[in-house]
Amino acid sequence: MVCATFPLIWVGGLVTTYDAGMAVPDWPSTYGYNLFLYPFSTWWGGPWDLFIEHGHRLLASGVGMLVIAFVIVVWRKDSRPVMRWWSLVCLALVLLQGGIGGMRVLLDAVTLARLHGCLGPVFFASCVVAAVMTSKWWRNVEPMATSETRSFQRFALTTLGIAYLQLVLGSHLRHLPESWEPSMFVVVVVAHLVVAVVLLAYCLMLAFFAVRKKQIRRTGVLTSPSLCLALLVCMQLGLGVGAWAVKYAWPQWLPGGGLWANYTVQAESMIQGLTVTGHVALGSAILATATLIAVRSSRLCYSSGTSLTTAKSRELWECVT
Amino acid sequence: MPRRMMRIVNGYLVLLIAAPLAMVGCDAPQAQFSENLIFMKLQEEQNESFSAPQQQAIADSLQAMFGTPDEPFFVPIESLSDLLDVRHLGQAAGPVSSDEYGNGQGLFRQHCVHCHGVTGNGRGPTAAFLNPYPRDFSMGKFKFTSTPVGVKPTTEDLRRILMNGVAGTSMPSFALLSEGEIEALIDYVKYLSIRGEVERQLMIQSNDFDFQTEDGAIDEEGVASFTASDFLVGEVLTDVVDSWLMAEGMATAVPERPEKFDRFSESFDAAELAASVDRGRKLYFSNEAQCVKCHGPSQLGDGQTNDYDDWTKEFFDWKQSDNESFAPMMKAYLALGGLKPRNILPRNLRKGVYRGGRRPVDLYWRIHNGIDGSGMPESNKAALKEDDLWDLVNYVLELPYEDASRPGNELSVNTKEVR
Repeated sequence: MVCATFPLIWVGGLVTTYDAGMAVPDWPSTYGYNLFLYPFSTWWGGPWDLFIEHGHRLLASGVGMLVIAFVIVVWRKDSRPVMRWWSLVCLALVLLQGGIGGMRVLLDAVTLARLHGCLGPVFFASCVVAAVMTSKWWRNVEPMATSETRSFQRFALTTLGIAYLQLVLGSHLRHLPESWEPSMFVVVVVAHLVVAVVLLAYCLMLAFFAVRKKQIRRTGVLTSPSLCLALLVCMQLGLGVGAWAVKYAWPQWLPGGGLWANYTVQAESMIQGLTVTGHVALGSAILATATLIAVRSSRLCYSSGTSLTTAKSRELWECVT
Repeated sequence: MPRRMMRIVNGYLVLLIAAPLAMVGCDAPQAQFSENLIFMKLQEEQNESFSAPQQQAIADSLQAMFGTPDEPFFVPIESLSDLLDVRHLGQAAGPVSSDEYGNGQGLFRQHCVHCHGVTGNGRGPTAAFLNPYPRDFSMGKFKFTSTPVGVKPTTEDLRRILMNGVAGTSMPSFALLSEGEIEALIDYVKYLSIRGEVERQLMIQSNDFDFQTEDGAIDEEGVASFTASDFLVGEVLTDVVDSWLMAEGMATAVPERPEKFDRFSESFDAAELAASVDRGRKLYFSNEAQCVKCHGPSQLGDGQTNDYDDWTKEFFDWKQSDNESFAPMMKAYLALGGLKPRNILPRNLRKGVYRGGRRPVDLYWRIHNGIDGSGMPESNKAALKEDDLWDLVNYVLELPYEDASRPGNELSVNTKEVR
């Protein structure tokens, strides 16, 4: 599900980048055809907008079916109530997301497009949670509720919250209401920049703790994703600047403007499409990675077993391990 | 899973879904043309405050002549087909969509509205961040044209800007759009510009009409005479449309650039080009051309840097203001939706960035015609002949490669004062 959803987010991002959301005016049908029976040649050889919008719908349907299969398998093979509950959460999210996507088309509402853009990463993150919960590690994990892991877990949850806030702010820049006053856009851009810096600081600190704190390192499941998250956020900063540069020219308050002095923005160009969409997709990847870290650290802190909170217990734990 | 973790997960789920929902109400449902409040304020200062019926009559007249952003319209006048294709307006306006064959609708909202705004007043959502600010079409002024200052651009001028973009700014090139889409956007820009100019004219001329009786009731007769088509079309719209139609025949004819200056020509003569560049350099500093006054003795655009463009100066002469008047005027301007005034900076000619195009013919037009609204004047026709202009063009094209420390010429009296 995780592997299928990430490309779906890419294609969804392309739909927004190329303003192709209304390339197919009906839903759930495509130009009157059943979604799956729409002539392949018309779609594959058709205009770019139609190609990505219909492709997005097909891919989304595939993901929806995967989720249904996942629910069936979980309810038949997994007796854990929490897992069953979570499979239904995934199903509810994918249905909600599909419904909002459909309503966005039927009502031609940009607000719904923005909501669709915000819920997509939530569903992606829910798939990551499902993947972690169905892993062997989840079943066999030993509790490790020390003060270090607990503060790491709180830190990871905060990072996840900031990552999502950043995503919601970004969605307002993507699905920009034409009625906004320039001052409103300034507020959101500045907030997006400030939160980017805060997020970077949190991710760097998370990576620092994951590397430096012995108990976190010993878990063996938090260090790599934390380092990966910091790397992704650094890349995202670069992509963010790039996305602005290919869309609105090089920001004049940044150094290096001389190199771009003669640059002319090319509307609808491939470099513009890929950079802007890449920024969106990487945002989802950051949310997913932050989710992975938060869920794993939460599992370590709250898995059933003896809670080791006192200093004495910690010592005992370290002796045992 | 322990209850506490469940609580955390549930809390996060609610937060993740609620956060975007909480921001749903941040946008207006339908696109609307906005009033030109800045120009209205200017009129009110010269005359008296606009009454509600007066404002309503102007709004009704505009809607009758131009429709709405979703359903644009153009009053059928005799010369309309020479001006634009009304079918293009429908293609460029309205919400974004496309059909099974890739024919796009809502092109202006897809490509332009975020910077230029629904009304084309240059105050779209992103405007405050862009430098230079996006063009306000409502004054009917466009910078990079083949026509002299004060004359509208030709259709070809608008096409050239759309196709090439404006280097070094946020104005993109739309060269990847189809020819039909470009045509639709050109006509829509004309439509918005004409609508904006007509709105201004209506505001000015409405001062001559009575919209209210002495007891404050609506003066039906006055409103009827203002909204009569004879007045709206015959005395307001036609003049604006004619200025656009006239521009088509007013493009400055550019004489062929001598081939000896063309590096790609067989007749290229390096010595001739060097001599022309030297002559251009002398002209740059001369009283005849006066380029040095704004572009500076080092050609870095560091001459006169405290002026403002016409769009900014229309409300208030910020340059001439004293400290006392500046702050309250600024407050009033921003409250009316104006963007914070910025100085218009002369181009740094050593960067090799030519916003209006880098071909010799583009530079010839810039020097010969000036740049409307920017303070760049047209050339002194009495003093500068065709060959002089080519010398200046050659000099400007060579500047990015010239050593900036090259000693300057003996400056004329005027330019010494400027320094």
